[in-house]
Amino acid sequence: MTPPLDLTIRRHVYETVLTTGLPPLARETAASRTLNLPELEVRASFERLAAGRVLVLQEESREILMAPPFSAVPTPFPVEAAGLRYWGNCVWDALGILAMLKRDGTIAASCGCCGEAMPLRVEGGDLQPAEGIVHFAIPARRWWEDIVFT
Amino acid sequence: MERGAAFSLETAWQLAVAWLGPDRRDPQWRRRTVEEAEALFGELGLTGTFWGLR
Repeated sequence: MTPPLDLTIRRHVYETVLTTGLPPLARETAASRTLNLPELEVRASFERLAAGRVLVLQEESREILMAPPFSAVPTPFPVEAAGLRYWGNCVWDALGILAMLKRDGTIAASCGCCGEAMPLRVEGGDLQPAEGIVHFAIPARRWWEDIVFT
Repeated sequence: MERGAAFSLETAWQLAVAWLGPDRRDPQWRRRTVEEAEALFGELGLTGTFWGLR
């Protein structure tokens, strides 16, 4: 069972990324008015959430790299919705961002093999018709062997 | 690179809605079990060894 603190931290992380476009840093999370926690406790919670595959952390800094489907760093899958820009970790995540937001928006996707622009749009809860397919290279049972590569 | 799995944008959207749509701020949210994930893949026609999780 997930410790109550980790549920609180998870909620804060997702509230932040949904309302600002980026996940928070550990010190920002610790200093937030609603939490007011020691940074070490926040970092420990980040580690537990990462062990549970809820977050992915950056190798050196141990800050959030991914709060799936959101990336903390720019990627080739920018999503514009509700006046904000978000970064998807992949095209599936970019679609997932619009699904989680439950808002209309656009994804400035591009073809993985040739770079051709492949813009996608969600309107009224539906993906608008577009050319192209989605290709997953890594079999599902191996996704978490190296989730950053996947 | 070995060929993986290719599918339609519409299927990708349905997968995104089902898998990533639920609000992770909700304390009731949890990761899918292997069985639940495989059932979802099957519902969307994503079958075969590529989509197996065991």
